Amino acid sequence: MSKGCLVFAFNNGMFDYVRLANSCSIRISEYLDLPTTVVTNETIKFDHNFDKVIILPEPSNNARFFHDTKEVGKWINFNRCDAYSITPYDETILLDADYVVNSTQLNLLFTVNKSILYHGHSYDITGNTTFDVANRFGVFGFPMSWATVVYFKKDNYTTNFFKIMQMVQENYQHYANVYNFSAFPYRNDYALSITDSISNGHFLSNENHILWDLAAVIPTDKVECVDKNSYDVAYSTSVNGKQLLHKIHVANMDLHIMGKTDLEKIYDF
Amino acid sequence: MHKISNFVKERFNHNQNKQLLKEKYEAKMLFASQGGMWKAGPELIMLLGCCPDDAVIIDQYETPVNVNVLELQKEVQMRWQEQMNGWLAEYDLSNNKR
Repeated sequence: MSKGCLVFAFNNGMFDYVRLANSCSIRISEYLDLPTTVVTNETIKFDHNFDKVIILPEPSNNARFFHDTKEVGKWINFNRCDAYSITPYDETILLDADYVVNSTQLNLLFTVNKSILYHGHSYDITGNTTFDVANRFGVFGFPMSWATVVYFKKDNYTTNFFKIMQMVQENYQHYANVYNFSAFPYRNDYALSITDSISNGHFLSNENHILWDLAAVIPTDKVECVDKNSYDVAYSTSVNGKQLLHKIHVANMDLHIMGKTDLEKIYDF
Repeated sequence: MHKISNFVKERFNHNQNKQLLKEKYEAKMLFASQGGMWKAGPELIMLLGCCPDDAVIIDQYETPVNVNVLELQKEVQMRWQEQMNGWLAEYDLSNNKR
């Protein structure tokens, strides 16, 4: 059984996702001892660490507001549901390029004996925001499944799972009406959450959830690299109208860093 | 006054670090064995202590798993102790930063 990671990286003119993916793949080799395949739309012109480079035409895209740069940019995220057919591995961890692998924790996913796994809950490591809003979506507060880290192996269940996800994507406006959320921009997290519910017979279940929560750093917080595997996260709180600055230290722990500018600094390229 | 507010600020950071360490080490307590997913901790250690050599117990995914109790007990204790030592070492380190 071959194992590896898959990262989608389509540059949008604002962030160099391919370089982010390359830095991500270096950490994957180091901590998880796994090869990484990147899916992109252009030839990579620098020395990279990828096991395989899969070049596909640029998929459809959305526009979204990036909180760290305070600009609206292209968000190319339409082909995650093709991950099943694209991956060269029997067992794959599909990762977002903004997920920083900083421990061996993800290797545990290969031992769980499940067809597919993803996070059912995320939290802000500073504790400054509750993430209650982020962990639910739509007017009815449907529970979110996070597409940041998705482990899957090739079997019948997963084949159907990704087919359902494709169907959800193709009929996204319909599902947006049913679950009562905005259809723009398209979000893989929403499509995955709806697929999770459908594939479990329209019941909510934790069956496919990763047992630990997704640690996230929101774009307004600042991440500074202390050394290769530890970071300081600075954030501010408002007390009696005064802004107070705080700092916490994170070591040997995976992080979903939502602010891409911080990621570029961390990876230092 | 400034000193007091600084102290309060530092104290708050320490508490958040403590919370983060808890999240981190709770994730590290998870492991797979004998076809189930387990979380090492006093609860599981106590449960296994009360079971006969072979028992069916519920894993983290709420699946009943038939386990060799002695084998699992050994693994649980080892993982728990290992991670608690790491947790303490990191906690002491963050305590010194105050």
